[in-house]
Amino acid sequence: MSYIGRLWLLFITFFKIALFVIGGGLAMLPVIEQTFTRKHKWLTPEDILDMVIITQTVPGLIAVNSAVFVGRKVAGIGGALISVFGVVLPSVIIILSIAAFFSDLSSNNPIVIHAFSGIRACVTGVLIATAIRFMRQIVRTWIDGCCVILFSLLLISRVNPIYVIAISMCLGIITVHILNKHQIIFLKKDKS
Amino acid sequence: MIIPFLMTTFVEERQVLTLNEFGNLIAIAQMTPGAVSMNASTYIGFLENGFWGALSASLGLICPTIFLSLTAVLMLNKWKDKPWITGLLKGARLGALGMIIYACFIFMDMSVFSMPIPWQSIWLFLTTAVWKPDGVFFVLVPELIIAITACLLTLKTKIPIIPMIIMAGIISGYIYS
Repeated sequence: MSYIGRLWLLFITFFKIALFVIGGGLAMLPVIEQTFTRKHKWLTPEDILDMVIITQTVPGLIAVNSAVFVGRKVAGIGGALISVFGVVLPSVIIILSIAAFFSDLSSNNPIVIHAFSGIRACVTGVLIATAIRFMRQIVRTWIDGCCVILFSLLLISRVNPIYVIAISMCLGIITVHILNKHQIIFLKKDKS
Repeated sequence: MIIPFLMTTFVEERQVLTLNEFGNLIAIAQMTPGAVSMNASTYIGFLENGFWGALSASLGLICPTIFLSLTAVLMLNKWKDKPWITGLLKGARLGALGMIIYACFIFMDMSVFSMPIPWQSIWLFLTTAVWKPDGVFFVLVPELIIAITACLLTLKTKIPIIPMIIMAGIISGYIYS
């Protein structure tokens, strides 16, 4: 696909994400995975997980962080800027029109509330599917699996995500370097 | 983190909004699509100085983020092949996967269950065999059906996700009416 085509796809994908995917943060992950990994193969599953690491550790809006990461990977700095534009534009348009035309928006319409709960349920299902897909692709040995379960249990017991990432980084360095040196290989070697 | 900061700045220090107005504003920001802090900042900017206020507020919010995350991405790219970073990334990817699984639980709490999963009560039950839940915990059946269908469709077929989300919203709203 041409450079302009890539830019357009980035813009329209992030525009749609910001417009329809309610829940913020990691809720946009499945759409990014489907569009850029499965359909176009521009990002590997590893790239998507790197994106999660960066968006969770760098301060700022998670949506904007994700847009910068994906945009840069797919189409350089220009891609990053156009993705951010796409993710921000719906907010600006909608808020401006609400502010200009409806001074008092009631949020008690039962149909709207039910539609929103349906959307949230759908996002939940899609996110679980994405998690399962990632588990299949990333977890190669049973030690990897134990680590993932340990990390999610830590997060469920309300340990700060920053500490969990720090622990996982230390474990990664230990397994890859110290154990590799003594020929006790836990993590399968990558092609890289 | 941004919402409390906005409140101290605009309600307490500069007093351009009352607490009630601020509450309304946050409710609108949460209901409308897009990031909550983004919506809230744009709205405050509009109230302060019309269209250009809204534009400068949202630009002010995203500029530091763009700068920081671009720096992080470029640094990561530069150091990617250093052995230390390879190990670090390998571990952190598993951590990120744990985070995605945790997010699944948070989303289930918000959509499929009537209240957040009472982990503390479960832990208490496992250790002392006293079952004392702090609320009525049950599964919302229509939402569960939607979630399971969406999960299976995403795993087994190539149906694009965004039309699926829109359909779920329409069906759920239609069942109610």
